Amino acid sequence: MEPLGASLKLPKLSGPAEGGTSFADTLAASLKEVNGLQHDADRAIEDLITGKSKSIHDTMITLSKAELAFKMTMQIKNKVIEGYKEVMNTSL
Amino acid sequence: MGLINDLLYTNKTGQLAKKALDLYDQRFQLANSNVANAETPGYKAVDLKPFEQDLQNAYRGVATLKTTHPGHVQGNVGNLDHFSPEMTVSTDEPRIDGNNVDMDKETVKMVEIGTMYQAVMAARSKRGAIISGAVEGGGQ
Repeated sequence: MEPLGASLKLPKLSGPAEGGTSFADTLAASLKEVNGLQHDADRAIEDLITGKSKSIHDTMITLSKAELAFKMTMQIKNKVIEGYKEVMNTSL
Repeated sequence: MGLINDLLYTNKTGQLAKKALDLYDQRFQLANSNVANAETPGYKAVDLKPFEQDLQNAYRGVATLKTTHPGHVQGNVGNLDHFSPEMTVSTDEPRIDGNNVDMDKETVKMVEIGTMYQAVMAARSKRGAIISGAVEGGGQ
C-alpha cells in the first residue's frame, strides 16, 4: 500500500527548493523593493516641487504605493514575530 | 532635541517641502496685494522670480552664485534656509492710470499656487504617515 501523500511532490521543508530562492533571499529582495519605493516617493515629491514633474496625481500614486508597501511590510514583520513567539511558547 | 531632531525632522525632502510651502505662501501674499491694489493708480504688479530651478540647485547643493569672470570662486550656497528668490516688478504695459495689474492673470496664479500648496501639503502628510507608521510599529 502506498503511504498517504506519496504521490504529492511536496517541497522539502528545509533549505531552498531546487532552482528556487531561499526565504531569506526573498525577504531581503522584498525589503529592498520597499526601500526603493520610499526613495521613489521622496523623489516624486522633489520633482513636483522643483517643477520637473507637473503631474500631482503621479506624485500621489507613487506616495500611496510607498505607503501601502511599507504598511504591508510592517504587518508581515508583526506576523513573523507573532509566529516566532507562538513557537517559542509551545510546550513540548 | 538633538537626537530626536536628527532622527525625525531633518530629512532633506521634508525640509524642501517646508521651504516650498513657505514660498507658495509668499507668492500668494504678493498675488493678494496685487488684487487689493488692482485699482490703485500707479501701482505695478509684483511677483516672485520663478524659483523652481534655483530651489532645485540650492537643494542639491549646487552653486547658485553668479560668476562673471573665469577667476571667480564658485560659491556653494547649498542651504535651503537662506534661499529666498528675488521679487520682480511686472513690466507689463500699464493702463491709463499707471496700474498694470491683470486680474485674470492674478486669479489664475492664485488658483495655481493654491493647488500646489494643497498638493505639497498632502504629500508631506502622507510622508509623515509612513514615518509615524514606523514609529507605531504597524498597530501592534
